Order: sequence, then C-alpha cells, then structure tokens
Amino acid sequence: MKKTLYGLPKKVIFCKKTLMSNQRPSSTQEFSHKSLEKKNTITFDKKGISESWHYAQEKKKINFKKREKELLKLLDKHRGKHGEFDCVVPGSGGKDSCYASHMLKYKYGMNPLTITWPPILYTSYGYKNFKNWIKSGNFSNISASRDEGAMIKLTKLAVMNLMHPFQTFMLGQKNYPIQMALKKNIPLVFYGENEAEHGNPIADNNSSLRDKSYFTYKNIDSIYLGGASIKDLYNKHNIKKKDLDIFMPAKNEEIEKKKIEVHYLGYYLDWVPQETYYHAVENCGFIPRPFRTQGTYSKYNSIDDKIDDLHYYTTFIKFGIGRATYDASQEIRNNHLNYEEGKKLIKKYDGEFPNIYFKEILKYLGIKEDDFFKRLNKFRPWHLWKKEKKEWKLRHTANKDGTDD
Amino acid sequence: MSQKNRNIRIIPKLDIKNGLLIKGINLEGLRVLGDPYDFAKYYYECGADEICYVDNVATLYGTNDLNKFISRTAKDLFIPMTVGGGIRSVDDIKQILSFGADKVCLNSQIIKTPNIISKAKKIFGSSTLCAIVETVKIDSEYFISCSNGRDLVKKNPITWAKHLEDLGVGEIFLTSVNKEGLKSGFDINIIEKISSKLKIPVIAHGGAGNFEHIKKVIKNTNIDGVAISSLLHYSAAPYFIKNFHNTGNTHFLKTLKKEMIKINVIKNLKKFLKKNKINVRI
Amino acid sequence: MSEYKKIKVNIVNLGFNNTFSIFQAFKSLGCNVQLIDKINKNKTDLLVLPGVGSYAKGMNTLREKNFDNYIQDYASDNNNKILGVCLGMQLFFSESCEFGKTSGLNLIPGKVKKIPNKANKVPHIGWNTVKTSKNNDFFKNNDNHFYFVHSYYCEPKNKKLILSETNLEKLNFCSSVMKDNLIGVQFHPEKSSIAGKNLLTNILKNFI
Repeated sequence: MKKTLYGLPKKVIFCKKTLMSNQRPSSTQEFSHKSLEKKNTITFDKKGISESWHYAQEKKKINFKKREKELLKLLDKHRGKHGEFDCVVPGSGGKDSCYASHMLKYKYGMNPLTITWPPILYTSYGYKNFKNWIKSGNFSNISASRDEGAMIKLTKLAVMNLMHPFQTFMLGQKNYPIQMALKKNIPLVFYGENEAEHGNPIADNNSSLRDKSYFTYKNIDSIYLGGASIKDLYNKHNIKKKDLDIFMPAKNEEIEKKKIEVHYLGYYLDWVPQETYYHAVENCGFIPRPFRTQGTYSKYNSIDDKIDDLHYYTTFIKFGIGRATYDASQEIRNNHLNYEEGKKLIKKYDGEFPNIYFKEILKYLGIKEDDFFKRLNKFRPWHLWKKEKKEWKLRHTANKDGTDD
Repeated sequence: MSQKNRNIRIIPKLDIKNGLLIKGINLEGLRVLGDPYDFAKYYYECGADEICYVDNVATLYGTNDLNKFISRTAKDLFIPMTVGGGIRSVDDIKQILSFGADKVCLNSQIIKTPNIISKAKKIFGSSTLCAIVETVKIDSEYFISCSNGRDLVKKNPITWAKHLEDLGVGEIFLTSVNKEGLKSGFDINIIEKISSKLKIPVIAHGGAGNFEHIKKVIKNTNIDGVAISSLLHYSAAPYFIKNFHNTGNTHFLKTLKKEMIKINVIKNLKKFLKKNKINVRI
Repeated sequence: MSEYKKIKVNIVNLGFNNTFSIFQAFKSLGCNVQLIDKINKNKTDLLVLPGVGSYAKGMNTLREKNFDNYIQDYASDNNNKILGVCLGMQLFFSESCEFGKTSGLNLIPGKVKKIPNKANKVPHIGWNTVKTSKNNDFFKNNDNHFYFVHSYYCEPKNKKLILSETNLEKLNFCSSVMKDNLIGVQFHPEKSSIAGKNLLTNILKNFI
C-alpha cells in the first residue's frame, strides 16, 4: 500500500454531521514541525461522525454558571496581584481577542495587558480594527517588534519547506505572549477559544488549560522553525540569535518556575463565534472586511493578515479542505447553518484562489510565482488530487463531485 | 412645490433567512430576532408606510423561499410590500407579485444581465421594479456589491444608479453596507450624490440609530423614504420572543427578557419628524 | 360587516400583477369575491379592474381574452358597476402615450399621459393626499392619505368627472374619476391601510 503524504488516512471521509474531512490535522507543536512528517488527524467515530460534533453536543450540557464561578475563583486569585497588570491577553483586535479582553476588563474587573504579534502584512481594515480595539477598550498593549528581515527569511523558508505561509505568524502568536508573561512576571494568560472548538480531541476540552507542550520546549534540538533546525537557521540562513529568539517557545523549566498558566476563556464562557462578532462591533469598533473573504463566504474571521488567505489555500492543497469547509463546519456545530447549506457554501467557495493579495505577498517574500506553484504541487497528496486534462481536481469532495466519487 | 413637500416614507426592512427574521451588521451575521410575521404585522399597526422583505441568502444558495410568507402577510397587512432576494427571471417576478407583493427588488441579477429590466418593464411597468444598490466604501472610494454585501463589484454607485434609472428601474433602495447595522448614522455623502442626480425615487437605508440621524438624512438629501432595520427590530424583539427549532443563531434571542409594554417607535419617529417640519403620513 | 357578505365582487385577473391583495381586501370586508381570468357571465355586484403594469400589456391581455369587448358591453348598462384601480382606471380612458400610442377601452374620453419628470420624481411612489371639491359619498369620514405607485396619470376631457385631485411637485392630477356606473382610482385602496378599507366600504355602501 502506497504511503500517503503526512501519513494521512488513505480513505477520505466527510463527517456526516459537519462536513469536515478526516484529513484535517489536529493542533500540533508548531515549533517542532518538520517537513513531510506524519500528522495526527482529527478523530471520527465508527458512524463517520467527527469528534468535534460530539463535543458540540456535550457543550450544550455544560453548566456555564458553574464554569463562571470557577472563573471568578481563578480571577480573584490574580486580580491586582502582579503589579500593574494581572493577566495577559494575546490578541490583534480580531473578534475573539476583542471579546476576551473586553470581558476580562469590563465584566470581571481585571487589568489585562494585551500582547500583539502583528500580522506579517496588515490589511488596512485589520489595522484599523487593531487601533479601535486598543482605543475603545483603553487597553495597554505591547506589540512585538521583530526584525523584518528575519521574519521574511523564516516565512519564505516555511513556504518553500513546509508550504506553510502562516507558520511564522502562528509561532509568534503562540510563543510571544508567553515570553512576555515571563518577562513581566504575569502568570495568568488567557486565550479565547479552545482549538477543540475546531476539532481537537475532547480530552483536551475538559480542562481550561492549554497543554504546555504547545508552547514550551525541553531540548533546543527539537526545535524546527520554517522546517529548519536552529543550527541551520543560525549558520546556513544567517539569522542572528537575537532576531530568532522572539519566535521561540519558552523553556519548560522557566514556565514551571514562574508558574505560568495558560487558560482558555472559552472553557469558562459560552463562546458563540458569531456572537463575538456582534460583541466586537458593538464594543470595540470592529469592522468586518468590506468584501467576502476569498475561499469562504464570511467577512469577519481572521481578516487582518494578507497572508492568511494564502495560508488557507495551502491548507486546501495539502488536505483538500478549504476555508469554506472550516467556516461552515463550525457554524453547523453551532447550529447556525444546516448540513445542506454547508454543502452549497463549500461547493461555491472552497478552494477559491486568493488572488487579491497573492502577488503582493510573493513580492514581499521574494518568491517567484513559478517557483511557488512548482513547490505547491509537490504538496498535493496523491490520494487527494488527480490531474485531469491539465487541471488538478479533488478526488473526493463533500458534495460527492470529486473525480473518484 | 418643492420635492420636500412629499410625504417621506418610513419603511421597515426585514432580512429573512429560513423563515426567520435576522439582523446582521454590515450585512454580515445571522443573528435571529424572531418571527418576521410578528414584526411585520406590528409595524403595520404602528403606521409603517411600506414594508420591505429581503431573503438574504437567496442568491447565495440559489433558492426562493419567501412566497408563503408574502401571502401570509399580504392577507393581514394592507400596506405595500416590496420583496427581494434571489430574483433571477421575469417568471420569478410574476410569481412573487402573484403571492401578494407590490414591488420587487433586484440586485445581483441586474448586474449579471441588465436586460432583465427592459424585459420586465414592458410587462410589469417601471413602478413595480426596485433596484437595491449596495454601496461599499473602501478607504475613500465607493464600489457596489451584490449577493447581500458579499461580492464586491468594481463599479461606481453613482454611475451605476444612473444606469439603472436609464434601464427603466422605478425606484432605488440604497444600502450603505459600511453603515448598516451600526446605528451610528447614514452615509449622507453618497446618499446625497445619488438622490440629487436621479429623477426616480431613492430610499436610504443603513445606519439609522436614532431620530436625529433620520432627520439629518432627510434634510440633507433628496430622498423619498427611509428604510430602517436595527432601530426597529431590536426595539420590538422583546415583545415577540418565541422558541425556534429551526437552525439559526438564536443565542441572542435566548438572552432577551420578555417585554409587555410596547413602544410605537414608528409613531414617535413620525411625530418627531413632523415637529421638525418634515412631511410624513400620520 | 355582515351586510357585505351578500355583495358579489368579481376581480379581473390580468395575470401579471398582484391581485392577491385586492382580493384579500374585499374578502376582509366580508364580500363574496372571485378572481376571474376568463369572461364570466354570472351576475356580479361589482366588477373590479385592477392592475399595475404597462398599459400596452394591460390592453393586449384584455384583448386576448376578449375582456375588452365584454367590459365595454358591461359598462353600457348603467346597472352594472365597475371599479378601476390604478392601471385599471387608466384603461378606462381613450388612449395612452406609453410606448407610442395605445388605445384604451374608451369608456371615459381622455388621455393617459406620463408624469413629467423635470420637476417631479417619477414614478410617483408613496402616500399622498387626495382632495375632493365635491360633496361625495366615497371620501367622507376618512383619512385622505392613499398609496400611489404610477408613472402615468389620467386627464379626462370632461373635468366635471374628476372626483379628486392630488398634487405632485409641479403637477396637479386627477386621482379619482367617476362617470355614471364607473369609478376609477389612481391610488391603491387595498394598500392604503385603514383609509383604503374605509374607501372600499364607502364604495360598497354607496356605489353599488
């Protein structure tokens, strides 16, 4: 039996409830990501239903009043106890960080320090949202200042080695706030939604804590950024240590020493993604993208980084799952859309090429279009893609209109 | 007698999806506020001049679901109804009118095939045909959109509106996508430019948050009417809370507390406008 | 209301506009209403000619179904009552200048003209007031705001037939007309809320 790319399941199954595909990778340690290694994918039960659907049903039974009490207890422990700020809220002014920071400050009386890992390439409306967020909430904010050259090198490596344009952003987003928490001695960090909302094992969801393995390391040799080892980054790619440090995860011992706790606010509060949009507009001056995001139907999810659209496109190539599928399956789980609507949206938008910012991104990273597409095609798993009349087509789709369906 | 002497029409606009009244912001988001029939009937009783219903996802999904709802309201409401969403052919228009609508509004299809207007005009007359113009402001430039604010179309709204008038559309329903749902006032700039250029009536929509906003847009432009959504629906939602089993974002609705005493916002608005020397039907 | 249950109303269905509403309006007043799309020789108390749409299409449709002759015959007997609404009222007249010249039913001498759009917004859409100079049974005891949606207006040759007038920015036009057994209203009583219902009630009381 021929091995599949990333060791993905050979048979392609679409969740009978949410339309999500079984090819979807679950959350990983971004900083140990080596090219073409095996990926864990989300789990499906014997009936062909994804675990995230089951989680969504269980979520309906959660007693959020009880959870809120737990939150209050946790907050009481930390409120006003660490100097000027008592918690760290990573964010960029998107709807989720708006909601999290706003709730913590104005409903629960905390004094959050917002930490921003800026997008690789800000969209104009994304930047406005960032400014409005800080202004409207009167938040203190630290925005990472990183060496642009290093950032470009790393991102280019991530694209060419991993076809993962968004890795450098994700690294910083996950690691930088922890670095800051350590630096400022603020042990309480709040992210928004648990990725479980998006399909990680349920086991992850019964705790409010983000597993330490996602943001700490024990051995520096295990770290790969942009698909390259740290040694190679220093020596082969000439990135200075001081410029690379900002992307690094924290040392496990330091986290233990300072007792850093990273919580998901989504564990404690009934997080309804669409409602966080309304909340962000009404309280933080958030404005959606003035046009539909390419590859999906919505206008308010992850709109501040021009590279994000390309990231979702590469995900479509690597796993056969487009952005419309991600958005639709989440809304189906939340009972905002039904199965049939999801199918139609996926058919209409999945895999739409994000041409609006594409040329600008490649120019910025110093990658030629030809090189990009040549490299891109190497990441098309054979069990997902077929070339028909010079065109690449999916073998299997949620609408059962793939070449092999 | 100047244009201003005409009675300004106050028109509640209802966005409908899967038979439920929804309310977004910038035409995005599908928060359910209730059963549209309850709201339509109430607004009729409050003195609304017309009602406008748009099926928000008809073009997106390629469906036409409003007919039953139109008939149901046409039986009990004796004011004009303008209906839109996913109208793709002359037959669609005929069907919607037969169910009880008086005017139809189109957008996406006119952009695709502008000659639908000349065909329809010969059968139904211009006064039946309303065109929705969704204006989208990006930085300081204006464009239009279709499919309910989803797809950007690189045309200038002023020239597009004039083109619609030349095609034979009877009325323009002008929605400022950027202002819609924010309750922070209208985009008077673009509304003024379009309403002063056209000879056909223009209805302004998108941004009404209080009576002052409405007064301001009437006094500073040449519009014939104002369409209002958020301001009315959020006020009325607590009166008509129901449980829904259909799919939809009913989270917000579940947080509302039932309100027994009703406030007639439409009547109060008309009184306010009259006091400020604006003609309305009272 | 029960007094209207015995009143039979036949509404001509031209097939391309909203007859549902006017049907519902009469039904809600308790009448025995029927939509007819072919000639129905059964006796009726009120024949209604409704419509929104193009004049040419209206006349062609009537001719195709032989309704034009039928209505002209029907109108010749003063005991037969006809109500024309909007396009229906315009069809009573001799001719219209929409899309060139189109002949009408010629029951009321006069022309149907386009509302000049130099100073007026055309189509005329919205609520407007109706002024009656005569003492008449139809508009009394009522709010005088009605809903209009039209681009053309009627000009009867005999001004005495004018029942009410309505103002636009630079035009004073005939908003309702009456000639013996014919009443025509340019506005839509079925879309004019309570005022409209009252008007229809008055017509049922005093015209039939």
